[in-house]
Amino acid sequence: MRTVTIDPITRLEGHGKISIFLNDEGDVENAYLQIPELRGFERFCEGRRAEDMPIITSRICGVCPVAHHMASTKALDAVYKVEPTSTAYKLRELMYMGYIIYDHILHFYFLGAPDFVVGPDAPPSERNIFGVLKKVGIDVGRQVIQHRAYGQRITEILGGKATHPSCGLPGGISKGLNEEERREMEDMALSSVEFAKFSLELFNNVVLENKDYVDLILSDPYQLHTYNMGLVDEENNLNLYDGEIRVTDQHGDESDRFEAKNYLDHIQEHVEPWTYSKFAYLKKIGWNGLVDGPDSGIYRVGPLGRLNAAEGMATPLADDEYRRMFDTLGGRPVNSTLAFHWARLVELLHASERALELTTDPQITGKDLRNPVNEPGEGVGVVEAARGTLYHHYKVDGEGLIEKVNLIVATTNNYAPICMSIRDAAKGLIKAGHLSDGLLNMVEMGFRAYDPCFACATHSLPGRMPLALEVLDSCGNLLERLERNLL
Amino acid sequence: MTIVIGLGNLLRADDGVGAHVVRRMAEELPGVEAVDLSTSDIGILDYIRGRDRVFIVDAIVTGVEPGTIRRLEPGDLVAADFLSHGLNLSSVLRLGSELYPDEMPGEVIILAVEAEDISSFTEQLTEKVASAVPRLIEMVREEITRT
Repeated sequence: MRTVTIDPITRLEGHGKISIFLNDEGDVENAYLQIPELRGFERFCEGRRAEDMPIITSRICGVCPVAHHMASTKALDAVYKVEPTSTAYKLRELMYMGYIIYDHILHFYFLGAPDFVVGPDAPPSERNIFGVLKKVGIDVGRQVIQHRAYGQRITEILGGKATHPSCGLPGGISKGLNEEERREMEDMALSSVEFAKFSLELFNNVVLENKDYVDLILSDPYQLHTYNMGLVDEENNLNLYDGEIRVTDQHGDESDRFEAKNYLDHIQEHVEPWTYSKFAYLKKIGWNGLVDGPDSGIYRVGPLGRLNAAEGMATPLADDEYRRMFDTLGGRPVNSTLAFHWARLVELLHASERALELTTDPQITGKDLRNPVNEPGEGVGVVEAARGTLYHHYKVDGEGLIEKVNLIVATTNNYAPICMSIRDAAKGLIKAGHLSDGLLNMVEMGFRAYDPCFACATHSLPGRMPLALEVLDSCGNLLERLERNLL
Repeated sequence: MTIVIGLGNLLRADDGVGAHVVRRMAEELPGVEAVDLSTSDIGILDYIRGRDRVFIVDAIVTGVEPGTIRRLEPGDLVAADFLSHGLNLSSVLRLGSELYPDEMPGEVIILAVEAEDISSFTEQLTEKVASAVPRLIEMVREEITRT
């Protein structure tokens, strides 16, 4: 068997590595993405004050601090058996929409758009944000930066800190909103709705009107028939901040539904010796290896997983776009990995609309920000992070100190599908030991759609996620090594 | 106007050196604005636009003696043209220059500290990197008073 590995170039820790294993015939046998785990993080948390967890966990990851902050705050609500006040609930949700706005804008324009706006076959020196700017123009580039900053600003007004929010408290939030701040947020949300509409139009003109791109989206290497998971409200509309976890099957029908506190009854984790990260799967279906279909408990989370797991969007414009996406791509569920990009833009519109609704809610400037807590115990918090469902689970002693921590992050939920997408993309490009040109990018496109995040590791110069790819033969000999900073 | 930006993850030992420097700045150089931007990338632009001079303090791993401080300028960073989807510091600065040519700082100074451990979960720096913190602050002070 031969192996191809994508490995980091500048870092010893905090990296991903893709290995592609070939069989005796030189065809792809399997492909794995190795993810560094948060080794030692649980121990780091033990004995700390539970109420410090939202601040500590927001520092795990520089990409989604707000998601960790909110999952942690909601876990503390459960630990202290308290519900946030109505105003606090809405302020948390508003802050959360700010985070989704900036994260989705960043992903689409910086990571997704280069492949589509510039083109999947363009040379790497052009297939980046600078190539995108050349196509869409400087003014659009400034709009991207401005609206990303709006999302960030919404989180900062409430969260207090530039990159690490500190507002979440069990039963509420530490800071309210004054009328001046509310007006500023309303203006930013209104502008974000327009920008999200513009982004969907851009996607429509550049991607959907180009038959080659639509064919690429619908092509076999990028299809996976897994289960889908996401938070929904009582009407089965997507909810990014709160709700019940809904799982749908290969026909789009509900196959499971549960509250966050019961997640361990529904989700199990499989361990493989070659990677630190675990593979999450549906307990009642079971683990049957890296395969899709109804007999495999593998599911997808994140924008496409969520839209598949829901039956609509709770805001009107996003709901129209939701229906247009499924109508165009053949109905729910859509199994094309590359449709994650489209789903992300539908969510951007939803988050902007929801932010606008919340900024004009009469309760949003209320002063009742916190309910009193009860004796601490055990609790689970869940949110839909930009990249997918995020669980925080804490056990706390009578003194309010952390005894045990368990986190299931979005990339763990999506880990098995990511490995399968890499394998399927590689299969089409490696035949009888011959590696086609463009291998690295086609494999990249497969997993970039999920936006796997390793930033919960570290950050040192020069970049954020260096990765390398290696191909190894059936005897373990290195055949090819490709290196690049991917994110 | 000058700003000092610390980058890196405070929870991962020496990776947090930027944040440690920012914390000390408040006592040592209270008149100079300092902000811990953790593992931000494009968000750095929001803080450097309109500044005259920017200091960026970050960890680096190149294999030299831990605690070694290198004073770099943007031109010393790895060129971004091999990145297909890059958001490293070099790309962020280039993006700023393309979108906001009149607002970018005249001077960007990168103080890169060789790290020994960037994987352990701890807020403590290793001894050698901790000893670099006062030297880093001194370097910032000298640069500011020199001009």
